[in-house]
Amino acid sequence: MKQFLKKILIFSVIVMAIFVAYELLLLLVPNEFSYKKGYIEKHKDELRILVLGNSHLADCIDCSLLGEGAFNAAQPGRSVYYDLQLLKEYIDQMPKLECVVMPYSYDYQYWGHLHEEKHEAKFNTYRCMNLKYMGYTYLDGEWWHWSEILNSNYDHCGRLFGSLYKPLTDFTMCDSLGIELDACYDTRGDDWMTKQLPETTSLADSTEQRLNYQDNVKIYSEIVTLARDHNMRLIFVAMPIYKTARERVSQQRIDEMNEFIAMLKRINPDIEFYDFIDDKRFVERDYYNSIHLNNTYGARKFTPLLREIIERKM
Amino acid sequence: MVFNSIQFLVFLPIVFLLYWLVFKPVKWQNALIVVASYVFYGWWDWRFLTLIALTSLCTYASGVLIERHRDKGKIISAANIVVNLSILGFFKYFNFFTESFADAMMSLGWHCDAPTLNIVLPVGISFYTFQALSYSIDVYRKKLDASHSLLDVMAFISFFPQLVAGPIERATKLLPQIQQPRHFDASEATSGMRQMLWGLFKKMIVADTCGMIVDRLWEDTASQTGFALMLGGVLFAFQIYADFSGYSDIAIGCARLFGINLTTNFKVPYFSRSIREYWRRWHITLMNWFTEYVYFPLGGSRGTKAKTILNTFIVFALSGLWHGANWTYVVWGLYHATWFVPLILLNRGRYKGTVAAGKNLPSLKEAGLMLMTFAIAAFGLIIFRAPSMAELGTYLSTMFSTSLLKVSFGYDIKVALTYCAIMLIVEWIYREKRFALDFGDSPSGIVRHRWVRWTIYVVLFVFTVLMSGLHSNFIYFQF
Repeated sequence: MKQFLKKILIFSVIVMAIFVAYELLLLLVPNEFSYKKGYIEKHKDELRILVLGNSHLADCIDCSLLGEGAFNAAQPGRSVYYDLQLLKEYIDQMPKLECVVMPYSYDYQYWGHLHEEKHEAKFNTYRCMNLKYMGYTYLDGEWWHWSEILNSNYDHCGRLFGSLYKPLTDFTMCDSLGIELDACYDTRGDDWMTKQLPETTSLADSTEQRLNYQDNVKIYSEIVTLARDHNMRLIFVAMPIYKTARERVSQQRIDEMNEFIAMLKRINPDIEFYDFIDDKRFVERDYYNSIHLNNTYGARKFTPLLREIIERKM
Repeated sequence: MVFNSIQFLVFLPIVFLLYWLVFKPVKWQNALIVVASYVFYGWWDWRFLTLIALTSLCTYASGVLIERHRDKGKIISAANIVVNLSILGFFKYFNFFTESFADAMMSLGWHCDAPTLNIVLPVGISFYTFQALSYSIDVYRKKLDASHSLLDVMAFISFFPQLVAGPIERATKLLPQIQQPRHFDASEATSGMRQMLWGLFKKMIVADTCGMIVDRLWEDTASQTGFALMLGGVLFAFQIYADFSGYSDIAIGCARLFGINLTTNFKVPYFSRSIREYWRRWHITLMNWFTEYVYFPLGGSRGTKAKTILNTFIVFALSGLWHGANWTYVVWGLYHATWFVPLILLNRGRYKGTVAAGKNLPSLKEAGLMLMTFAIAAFGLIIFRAPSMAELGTYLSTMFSTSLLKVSFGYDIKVALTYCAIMLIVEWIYREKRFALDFGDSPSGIVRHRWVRWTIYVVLFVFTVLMSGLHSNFIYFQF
């Protein structure tokens, strides 16, 4: 028995050493999380406009068209919880920050990863990457949330072993000002208009969504309160969606979106909301899929509109 | 709790150490097995522990009563079968039978609303129910003395390594092992760890990689090419084999850590030379169960060839139905039975021993036969994988279209096929052993060096963990 336990112990020590080395080596390979955090840290004194949120803004706000001091810190699949963490950390360290842009749309109040089993892997991945590369724990974070091996689907093997023969910068997935690189017009595929179509039913009906809603009320309320207390301009934008997606969004859901925004406005009347959902200026070639603009034509059309909104009150 | 999870990685060493260091008397060890097994199962859903307890209690009582009242043994055994099959039938087949009845009435022109219930299927219910049935039938047949220890029967039915997906153990094999004192055997335990490691590789690398592609293909069959769907069939054949035999390897290896030998469930079935041989190598414990308790009582092959064929069809239809409440499983069973017809009529396809025993490579004829058997099995598994008969129709009609000749391999398919090839090569090399990586007590060849063996273990484990997630479930849990 002693001999057997000794063998198991030696084996465990060897593999644990390999896993620890692997986790540490991953820190050396840049990724979108570490890049965006690093950029904000480095430029916090100069940033005027900060874009937060998920793929809806990450794919299509080209900060080079927004003027000096703008950065797109949004990330695909990102939960608003981490936007709040980022704001809390930096709002007092950004003396020039004038405006924060965030997405809001017809299902955001029900959107989250925590309470849905089907999103468990995604939730674990974001929890891990945000902890390891941005330093944000999710609620009461555990030490093992830090391990990509145990939590993340963010292609850690590809990143580490790919870095042996690819330039390290290839792993950031975004350009220097944060826009996503893969949401291109050229790569969207023939079936783009049927990709990521929204649910047809109201999301308010399921238990998971109701729990997400309760979380989101708290988080969004905290964000708008933070903006109010720091005199920061907070702009919510509802992004355009293609007609295949629009057909599936009922008036009830649009009303729910407007009600939620109205609730936030009661906390901070200065927040701004701009609804582009039915904006006819966006045509087929501006989209990456049914609910996302692309980083090519879509970004070039949307970013100047956003700039106009921002400059209107500056 | 699943084998490929962090929870199990913590659970197993704790139970192992308690089992050998603290709970030394056999009674205590059996009590620990029951508690650990109930924790293992209850991790998924504790409410269904009552079902396992009820099954254990009925099975124990039936054994004792049969022994006391031999004259009424048939009735008592039958009562136990009825109780256990009723539980299984309710949870697994209620909706299937009511809906099928309603459909049949509709086809006769009578409108009939089928009452359906929102029933959650308890994990592994088919496995432990069949194991429980084998006990009372064997006691009735006097092949086994009834156990007078409820604890032993509970340990026999709930033994956690094989509780949720087999191997389905016969009471005559497992129960005596549970009743006897067990002694730690370091070489068996080390070999068990190797078997678990190989099982993890098969499940987490081969099965999960193939599974991702197969699921994607089944999600939208109509827009795929015939060639892609054909490859999907091949990949599913590897997925289900790697998944289920991987589970069996982990279960058997894990049991060996506790001094218990379980029955081999898979013996390299894709190296079979006929469909008859295939079924001697695929899900062996289920086929043994059906052979012993259904095929033989029906007369087996002792009557005319027509009777043998009829019995074969009955066994395969039931075995299909055992897998789930869906006509696709029944059709899959009947499909295999059909392939038995020419073999029964011509008395062919009986192969003894492993293919190309003692040689490195098979002959051309053997290779051809293996390929043909694999093609038959893989096609059958398309039926097995289909969510419904309608979707099977769409899959097959798209597969057998002109686009079948549009040969193209995506990157992920190449990766999956590479993993399958690694698995097949290793299993070919060790095809005459109990499992791949079964180096034995005195290894020969390159693996005679300890550092080579250790490198294999470390690389395989690290690769398995890094290249996959510790999350996905085993396919056979749903049965």
